[in-house]
Amino acid sequence: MKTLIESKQQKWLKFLLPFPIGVVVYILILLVFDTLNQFSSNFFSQEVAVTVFLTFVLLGILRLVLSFIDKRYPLLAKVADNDEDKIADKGVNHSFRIVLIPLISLLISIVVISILVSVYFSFVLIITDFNTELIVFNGVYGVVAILYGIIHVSTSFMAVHKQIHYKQEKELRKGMESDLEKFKMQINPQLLYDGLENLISIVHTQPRMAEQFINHLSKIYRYNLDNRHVELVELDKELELTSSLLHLLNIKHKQTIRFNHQLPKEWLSRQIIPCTISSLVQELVNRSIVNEFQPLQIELKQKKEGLLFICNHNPRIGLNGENIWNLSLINKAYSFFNDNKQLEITHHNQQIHINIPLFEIEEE
Amino acid sequence: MRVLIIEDEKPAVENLKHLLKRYDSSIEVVGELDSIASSVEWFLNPVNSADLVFMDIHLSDGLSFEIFNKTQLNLPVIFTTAYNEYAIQAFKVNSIDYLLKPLVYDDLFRSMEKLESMRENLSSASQRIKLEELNEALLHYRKTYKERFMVKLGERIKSVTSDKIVLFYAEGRNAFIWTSKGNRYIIDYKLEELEELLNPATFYRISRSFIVNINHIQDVLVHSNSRLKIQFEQEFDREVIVSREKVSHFKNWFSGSGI
Repeated sequence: MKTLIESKQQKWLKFLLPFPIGVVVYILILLVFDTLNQFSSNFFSQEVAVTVFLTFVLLGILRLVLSFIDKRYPLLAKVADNDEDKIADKGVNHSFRIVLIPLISLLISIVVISILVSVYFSFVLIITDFNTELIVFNGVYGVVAILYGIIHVSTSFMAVHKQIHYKQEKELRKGMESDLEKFKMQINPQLLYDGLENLISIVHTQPRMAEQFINHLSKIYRYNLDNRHVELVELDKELELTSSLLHLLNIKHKQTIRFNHQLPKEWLSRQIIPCTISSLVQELVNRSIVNEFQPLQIELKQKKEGLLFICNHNPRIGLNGENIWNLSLINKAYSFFNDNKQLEITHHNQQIHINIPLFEIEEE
Repeated sequence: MRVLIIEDEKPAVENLKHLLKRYDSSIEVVGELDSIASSVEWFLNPVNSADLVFMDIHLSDGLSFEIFNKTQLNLPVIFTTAYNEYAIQAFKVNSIDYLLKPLVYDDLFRSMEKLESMRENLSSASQRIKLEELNEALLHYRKTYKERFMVKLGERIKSVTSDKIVLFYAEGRNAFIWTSKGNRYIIDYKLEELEELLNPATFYRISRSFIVNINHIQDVLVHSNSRLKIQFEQEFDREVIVSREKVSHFKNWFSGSGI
């Protein structure tokens, strides 16, 4: 959007700018030849037109060359690779650039103006001796070119600065969004409000059950809070949490969710990322049809070095039609430890299988 | 049994009384107090006596430990607390116990059984609260800091205790730890987060990209521009320099007078 406006502005500037500059150049040339008094009589003469034309050509070529340089040796790519600390010292390269670009502009102007002026004098005015004019024209246009170069460098630095700022802002925002996502995982609003709603429905009729319900709910949240900064927990603890969660869910679903696991004892001391199983169970219950006629069976088995989470596949029709599990958040956590150990869902006739990696810890 | 309840929330008191009645209907609640001031007054009055005290840690006028400083208390105590960040496990010693809110009957039952059995087995002198026990517990009643970091080494996962970490450093967008054995591991934390998680007495953030462990610093040299350069037992491949604005803080921290 912004670049669009800029290019639009540049387009009409491209045609307008040569007029004032050309006139200024003409005045300067007249000053040099000390014939300023001709100014009023010759203002709309051919000479003005020539200077304006020369300016137009020169600025056009300068613009082309400089934008080519910018594209070929961009300022930003260099900066973008580095981290924040290194932006401060832009190094030799950048100060070098500040000198180089005006010099290149000057060179271009000398070449272009020499050619054009020679052509103009030899073919249009048919004068052979035009050395002084050549020097004067080159001098004046040289100054214009250097100024143009300096302005170009400074605006490009400004643009880069803005872009860096924009990128940093974007990164910051991304970080904040992912923090928010993590926070939501901890708070788990759906479980909280579902839980409170169920609690309302049983608190008067079954106070004893409500008490248990509160107990389990507080256990779940204590677990979440305790494990905020813990990377791995023992499988045993995770299973304990899962049983609390199932207790809650079964009050809502009238004991129709069945969970069992036959795991060897030594398996229970292996490590798992906290809330893996519990969030799978929640996800599953949210996505499945669960009632007395279609109970939900969940089973945990050992499989190679990890676990296999098996449940029956009886999907509820979701709002967006497709019923795709979103494991990206859990998998992000797993990818930190091992890129090859990810949760994967496979379907085996009416069953969903999910492999869950387990870890073993060594002391450093 | 005569029980005293120190708790500043009325519903919590009611709940506790209800649970106690369920445990043993002969339990007599001899007092309900809601502040440190009123508790101290109650204990100083020789007329009052109780067999057990339930004590909320957070009272309206401070932490209930102050009561111990102001009185000679020799009763078994059960602390109650909601979730907090402290190492509450330290309170599970002989004549002290703790319960987490919301109070649940099963947990209360277990604590009471424990105290009852102690009362039967031990002489009256030893069932009193031991001051050193309490002090020990109080020593642990502080914020818990992160003690271990899980890192990966190829396919394996290692656990690095924080005392073995010489330095946390940032490189690009990632944070790394450098251990006393000279190994480097990437960790999934930002330095800002680590500042919050680590014990400030041991770890200090000396600049944008370094957090150092006080126990592994060997030398602090004066560097150009009134900055400080830190040296460890082993050579680190980057210069570890205390940024200028942190120099005075760093000196305070390094000399152990806190930040």
